[in-house]
Amino acid sequence: MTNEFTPDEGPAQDVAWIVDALRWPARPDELDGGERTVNAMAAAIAGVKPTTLPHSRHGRRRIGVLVGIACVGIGGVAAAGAASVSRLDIVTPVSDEQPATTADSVLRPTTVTTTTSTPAPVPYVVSHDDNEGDEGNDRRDEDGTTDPGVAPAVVSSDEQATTTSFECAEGNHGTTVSSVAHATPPGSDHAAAIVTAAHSDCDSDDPDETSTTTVVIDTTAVPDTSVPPHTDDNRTARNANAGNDNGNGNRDSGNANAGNANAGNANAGNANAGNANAGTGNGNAGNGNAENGNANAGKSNDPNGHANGKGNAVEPAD
Amino acid sequence: MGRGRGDFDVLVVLAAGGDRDALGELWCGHQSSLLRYLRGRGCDDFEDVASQVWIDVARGLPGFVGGEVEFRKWLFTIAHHRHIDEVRRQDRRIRAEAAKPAPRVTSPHDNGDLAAALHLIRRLPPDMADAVLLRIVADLSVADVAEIMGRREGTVRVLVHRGLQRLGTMVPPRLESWESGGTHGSSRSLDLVR
Repeated sequence: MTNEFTPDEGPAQDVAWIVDALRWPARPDELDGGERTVNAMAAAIAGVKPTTLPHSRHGRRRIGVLVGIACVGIGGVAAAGAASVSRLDIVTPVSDEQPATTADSVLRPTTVTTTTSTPAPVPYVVSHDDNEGDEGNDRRDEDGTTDPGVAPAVVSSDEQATTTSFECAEGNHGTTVSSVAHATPPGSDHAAAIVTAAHSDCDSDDPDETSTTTVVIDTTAVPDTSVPPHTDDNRTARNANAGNDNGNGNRDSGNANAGNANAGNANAGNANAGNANAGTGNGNAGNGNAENGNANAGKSNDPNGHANGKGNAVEPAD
Repeated sequence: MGRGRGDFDVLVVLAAGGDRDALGELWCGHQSSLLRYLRGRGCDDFEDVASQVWIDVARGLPGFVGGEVEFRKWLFTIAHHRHIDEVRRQDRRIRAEAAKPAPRVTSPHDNGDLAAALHLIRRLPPDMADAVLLRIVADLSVADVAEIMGRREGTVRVLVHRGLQRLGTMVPPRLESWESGGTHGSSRSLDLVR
């Protein structure tokens, strides 16, 4: 006991026994239920960690690892599902010079999710000029500025082009389909392009040779980037892609997204999930899907606000 | 309480990381005084409130900075506010408890001494009881008690003094065994007086 009573407040001898009784060491009956309380405390700590940034490094890392593990598991299932989908034989080899936008992260195999503590970004940009460099982490606005928080409705950066090539490396079919969906402007050709991409065979018969899928998209139709991201067309697109993005798509639109998302479109869900989520380490989708089937993101997003894509795996962006 | 500052810091860090042993050690070291404080404040559901206090502590542990004294002050600050919330919910029940007759105090060193002491303290005005409990049970300094209660230090001293005085008027005549020093901890209590 560290605090002595001062003379003006000191206890009279009449009450000394009260002081003693109050300061007497803990009695066994006072320490009942310790295990239950400690368990509750541990649970409280586990629950509070994501929100206490300055002191929750361990917790954030642990959550990231758990999300990553979930993504890997879901990604494997999704990949297996995608492999069973029949594909059209429209695969054509491409030159060694790959578009800069087919960044490593785009074609990253699902095993990359082992780097869950630093979630890899999911690029939205599918077709770019070669001089854009490796911009896998960010999407570019029309003025060239990066805006990692908003995904453009139409991603194709070359409006003069009438065709866009997409690589489907190492069997990452879902990502390819996703890319096509994003690169295709809303319109009548949108769904067809996605279907084509989805049915394309991007797996290489020769494991030593990386095959690619070339999808012809008529971007001359209406590459209108001003179209709101939540129109029915867009939503359809996202559904189709689906998978591709659970993570990003959601993050992009914030509201419409996720939800729209997967719902319904089985393919989407499966196809991508695997790729996008796992590959990029975007937890959400992964989580969401795991628990809610294809409805994904929806749930995962909620608690994390907008941060879906990258953020979920670690923490809310704000 | 004999723990060094460094040891306690380590304990807090471990506890903040979810280490159950560390949490258990924190709990064991303060649970009894927390319960006594809540009981002395007349909290009927003192065990539930104490559990809630510990959960609050757990939630705030990652942000806690300080040694054992600071931890104790923080713990009892939470308990103080928790009790206020409890009082607002169960004001009627607490008054009914205070109106109950005091248990028969036969000896300060029988098994009922703690219960008797707490019962007497519950008969004090709330501020007095709070000040006395925070000073004696929580073992906090006058300054810390004043901060927790939102009072000035002089006020706290007066509250403690008058509270102890009033307790002295409530206590039945001392037993011979108590006066002869045959009780546990009696010498320690007398040291506190001086």
